[in-house]
Amino acid sequence: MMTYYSWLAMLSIRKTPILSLLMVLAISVGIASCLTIITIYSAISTNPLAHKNDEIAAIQLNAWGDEGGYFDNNGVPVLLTYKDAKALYESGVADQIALHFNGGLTYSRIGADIKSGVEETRLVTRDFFSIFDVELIQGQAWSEQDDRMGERVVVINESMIGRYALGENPIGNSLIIEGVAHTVVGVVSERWNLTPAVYDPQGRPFREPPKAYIPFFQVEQMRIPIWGNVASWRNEDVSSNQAFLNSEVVWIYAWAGFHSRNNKEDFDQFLRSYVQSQKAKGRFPLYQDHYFQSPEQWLTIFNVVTKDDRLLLVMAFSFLLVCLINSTVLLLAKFAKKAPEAGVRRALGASKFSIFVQHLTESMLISILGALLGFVFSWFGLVGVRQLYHDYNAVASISISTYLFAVLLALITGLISGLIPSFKVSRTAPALYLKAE
Amino acid sequence: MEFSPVFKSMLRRPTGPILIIMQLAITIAIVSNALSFIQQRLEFVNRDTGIQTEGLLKLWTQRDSSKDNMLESIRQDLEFLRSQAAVESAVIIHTVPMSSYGEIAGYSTSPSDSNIEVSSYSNAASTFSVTEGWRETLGIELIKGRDFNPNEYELFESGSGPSSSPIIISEHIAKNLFPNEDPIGKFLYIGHLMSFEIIGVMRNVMAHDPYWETPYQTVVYPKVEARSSLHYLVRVNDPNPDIVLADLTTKLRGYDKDRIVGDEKTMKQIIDDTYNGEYAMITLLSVVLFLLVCVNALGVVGLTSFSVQQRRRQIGIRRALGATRFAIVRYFAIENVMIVGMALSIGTIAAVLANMQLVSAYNLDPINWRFIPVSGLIVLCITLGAALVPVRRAAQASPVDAVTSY
Repeated sequence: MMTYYSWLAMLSIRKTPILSLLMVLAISVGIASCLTIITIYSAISTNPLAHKNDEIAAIQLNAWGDEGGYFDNNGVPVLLTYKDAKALYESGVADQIALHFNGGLTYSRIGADIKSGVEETRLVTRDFFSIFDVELIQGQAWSEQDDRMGERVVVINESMIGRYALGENPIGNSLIIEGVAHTVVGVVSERWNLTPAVYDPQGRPFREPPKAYIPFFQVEQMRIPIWGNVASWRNEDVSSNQAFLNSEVVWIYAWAGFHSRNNKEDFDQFLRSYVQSQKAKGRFPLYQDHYFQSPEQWLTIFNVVTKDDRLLLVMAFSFLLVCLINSTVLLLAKFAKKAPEAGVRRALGASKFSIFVQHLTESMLISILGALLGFVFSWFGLVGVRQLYHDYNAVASISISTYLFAVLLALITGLISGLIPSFKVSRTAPALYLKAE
Repeated sequence: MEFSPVFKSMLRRPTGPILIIMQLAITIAIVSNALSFIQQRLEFVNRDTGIQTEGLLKLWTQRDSSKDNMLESIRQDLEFLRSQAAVESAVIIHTVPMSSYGEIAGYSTSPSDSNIEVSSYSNAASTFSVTEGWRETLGIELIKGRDFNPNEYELFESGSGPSSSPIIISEHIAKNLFPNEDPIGKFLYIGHLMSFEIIGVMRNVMAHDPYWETPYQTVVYPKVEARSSLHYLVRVNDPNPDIVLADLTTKLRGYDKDRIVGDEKTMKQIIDDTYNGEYAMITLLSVVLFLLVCVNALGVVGLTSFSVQQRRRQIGIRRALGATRFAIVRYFAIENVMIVGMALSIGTIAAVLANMQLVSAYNLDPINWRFIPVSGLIVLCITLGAALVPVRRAAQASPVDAVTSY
């Protein structure tokens, strides 16, 4: 029966080509805008480390001394001082601990006429690679010894191989960073790109991944130009590196990884007693709380999904609603015209229900055609949006689940918009239309 | 004006009109909210920056901090830039307006006793450390007091900065910290370590973060720390600043191979990048509005063509009885106006409710009421326009055809 109804539907659509085209276009535009917005929204609102929500956490210590509280995020500093970060690392209580920040360092190669450049480098402790699932394709992260000593080693991003002519097997080659020779020990895949960048959502949550990683504790040997937030509530002289490291300036992200619940509780205990001991020394003057933030919570604190994104989502669905009603109106008009035919069918014995299903099929066929056209439009829509937002370097292409969602949307639209018109036409009294007129 | 017959005929077949009214009402709600948001964004990005954007360029250099001739090298770069034919003036600066590169310090009107400073954000100001020539380069206007004297500028090595200095504050700070008195000659302090004498007030200049709650809290300070990472702001008098920028960058790079020159941008590019999200939002909202208008127009065309065709007999009979073509068109126009009128009343309620939801759920700004009647008017024009074509065609039809054939 359904094939018959589908065939009837196609005939009917072809009989009023312009009206049908208008209906298909209206639905396609509605579905295209929804698809585009949903794809973008899901790309930016997805937590890429959701599977680790219970295993890793960002640490917030409230060393802030200003009564007004920290001026951003959730009112608590999102960064740590060097003294606190180092203490957390050296305690060894947490199973994994990653201290990191973003820097701009000068790179060059000996010999060859490779131009030197400034690259975005992340200074990290070695657990950064395991906590954030960084994908290495060659070599590995440096040893624990190298980690603590701030050894002159570097893990580079694949894209650096070409830029600095490091050859087929860059492991073991030397790269000059800030005038000092560093040995390449690992290569990170070019494809690794956390979107949004959970490790550093400040300002640019869709940033490109770091070009290279060097051991965090190199900060003890030289002053690294920090490309990130540096904040302080206290006026201190930080002109020398040593003074800077001893100060109350916050500039370091700290993340902990736990292999078990017990470990998390142990670490919590440790932080509590640590803060107490610091208070005894006169630090942490106003507060004594600390926080563990899961990746999910971290992204919320940094407002990665802005109100603008939500507004666009609302607009897209409202627009689809308008298209849906529009479709209903046009279907009503179209089916009213087909009332004579329906009358004849009823007179020949068709039940109200079969007339209803017949016209509902037509409505859904139009919706499906609209959805197919909508896919094409949404592809253009995504290209357009990528042009508009310079920052979205990895904005998704439409995923399978979004396609399925679009098909579902089309079917529901067809169903809902077709209900009233099909119902009306199924109730035509045959007698009216069997007369000569 | 035949309002009554139009209304009664709609009542007889209410489904169509009800749906159309709903559609137009939702459209009015969307359009009025979208227009309001677009206006808010436009106002936001068009705020006065306080500087002359045209012809202003930014270059950035990074030096090896271990070298001891850093001060010399920085000065030489500045001299080099100033010597270029295309350059009118150039300065070193530590905070670049609207760019997110910058520093904020907390200033208070009295020195604090302890080392803990009261630096609540409302007393904080974005600090522009500049060398001589900053006013011409940035195009900033001084409205009170004086500019710095040549001997008040200083380029100092890290760690040996002066503990006192003259300072110029923005209008906004002057109004807030010194509401009823002349700020000239008064002092500002950072903790108890640094004091600043206010020698001038400038017209509001935007801080490095235009999304800050108080973006006009800015101060200018003539002591520049020689850092490994520095920005130069350059004013050029050329119709193609992008070309000049590329040229200057290459020349600066070639002049001294020992440091990196990069991240060169025109001020216009910096502002566009900072406001990228806003422009994108404005564009997207406009696209949605445009599509909405199209969908509604197409819907009205389709519906009206059909509706007019259903009533061919009625139209034919009326024409045969002496109604003019204009009267026929008027009938449908009235029907249209009534529908839009009802849509407007429902749409206004819908717009207000939707806006209240958006304001509370997403912390957006409330709607500007003006846009509701504006949207109603837009919808009216679209529907009348769209309906006009099929209606006129129906009115042209000869009464004889309409009545006899079917």
